[in-house]
Amino acid sequence: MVRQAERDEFASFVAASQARMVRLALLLTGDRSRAEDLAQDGYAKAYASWERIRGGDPGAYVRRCIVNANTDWWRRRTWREQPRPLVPDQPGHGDMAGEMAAREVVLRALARLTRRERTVLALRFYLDLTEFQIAHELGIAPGTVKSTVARGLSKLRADAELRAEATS
Amino acid sequence: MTPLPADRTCPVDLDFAEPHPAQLDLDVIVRRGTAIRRRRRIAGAGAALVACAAAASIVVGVRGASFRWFPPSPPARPAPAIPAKPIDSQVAENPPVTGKLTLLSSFPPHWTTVAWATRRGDVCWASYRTPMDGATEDFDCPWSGADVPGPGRQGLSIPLVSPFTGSDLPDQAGSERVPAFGLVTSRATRVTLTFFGRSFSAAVVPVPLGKGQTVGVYMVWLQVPASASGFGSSDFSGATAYDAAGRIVARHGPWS
Repeated sequence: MVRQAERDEFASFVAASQARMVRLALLLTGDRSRAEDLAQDGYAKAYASWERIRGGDPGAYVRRCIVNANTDWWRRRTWREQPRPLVPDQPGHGDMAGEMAAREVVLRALARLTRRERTVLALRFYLDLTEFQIAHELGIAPGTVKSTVARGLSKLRADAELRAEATS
Repeated sequence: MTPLPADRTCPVDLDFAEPHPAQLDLDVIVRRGTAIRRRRRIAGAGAALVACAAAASIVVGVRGASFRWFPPSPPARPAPAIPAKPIDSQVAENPPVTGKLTLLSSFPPHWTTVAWATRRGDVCWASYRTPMDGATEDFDCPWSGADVPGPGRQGLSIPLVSPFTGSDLPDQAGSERVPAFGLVTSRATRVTLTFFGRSFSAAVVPVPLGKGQTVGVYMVWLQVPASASGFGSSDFSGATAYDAAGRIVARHGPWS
C-alpha cells in the first residue's frame, strides 16, 4: 500500500516535470533519444532516493542528475528506453517544418559551445536559475558562472548560422 | 577573464516548440530505480562487513592488513610539455605564452587535461576526451596574474571544483569523483586538500609563465560522499602544499 502511494506520488512528479527535464537534457545533448535516456536515468535515481528527496526539491535533484549524467552517458548507454509504440500524432502545428528547422539551428549552435557553456546557458535561460543558484548547483564559483554565461552568449551572438537564420 | 557584455539576454529561444511531447516510460524508471536501491543496500551491507573486519584486525593486532574505503588517488604524472596544438577555439582565443600546453593529467582513460599560462597572464586549464569529437569538454581561465602565488601573496589558491571533467568513472558505492584545480607556489611538489573531512592529494605540475618563471598547478581527484546532496568550494576545510622534502611550503585554512 505504501509502495503504491509512493509510486503514485512519484508518477505525478514525473508527469508534471518531464517536459522540462527532457528539454533541459535536449539542450545539453542536442539529441532527443539521448535526452530521454538522461532524463529517465535522472528520474530513476530520484525514485531510488525518493524517500529522502520528496520533501525537498526533487526537481533540483533530477536536474543535477541530468547535468552530471550528460558527461558519462556513454557509460550508461546500455540502459535504454524500452521500445514502445510511437507517440500518437499531435495536433498539427502551423509551420511544423519551419519550427523543426529553427529548432535544429538552435541545437547546432548550442553544440558548438563547450559543455560548461551549454549547461550554464540552459540553466540560466531555460530554467531561469540565478547565477548564484547555478553556481551552487554545479559546485563552481559564481564568477565562473558569470564569465561562462558571457562567453556563451557572445559565441551565440557571433554564430554565423544563427545570424543567417535571423536574417532569412 | 572575459569581460561581461552589456547585453545579457539570450539571443535564441530555448523554449522552442517540440513536435512530440516528452513521454517517458514510468515502468522502466521505477524498475531501474528499484534496482539502484537494491544495489545501494548491498553496498551498504558490504561496507559494514569491511568495517567489522577492519575493527577485528585492529583488535587481534593483524599486521599489514589494510582496508581501503576508497581507491587510491590516481598516480601522479610527470609534467612533460606537449607540443603546441590548439585544442580548439578555446585555446586559440587564449594562446599559451610559451606556445606549449602542459599535461596535467591523463586520468581517467580517454581524458586529457592540460594547463597553460596565456599571454595576458591568466592561467587556464582544459579537459577533453580523446577522440574529442570536435569539442573541449570543459575549459576555464579562472586565475589572473594577480592570483599567481608570489612574494607577498598567498602561496596556495583556494581550490575550484569542476563537476564536468572526466566523470566517466565507475561509481564507488553511489558516490562520485570530481577534480579540483588550483595554483600553488612553484616550490611545492605535492598538495593535500581536505574535502568533506577527508584528505586527498596529488602532485603539483609546474606550468611555464614565460621568462623562465613557473607556477604550480594541481588537479586533485576528490570523492564526494554518497550522502552529500551537493558540493562546492565551501566543502573544503583546508589545503596544504609540501616540497620535495615533505616540508610545508604553503597552507590555506582551516576554513570553517
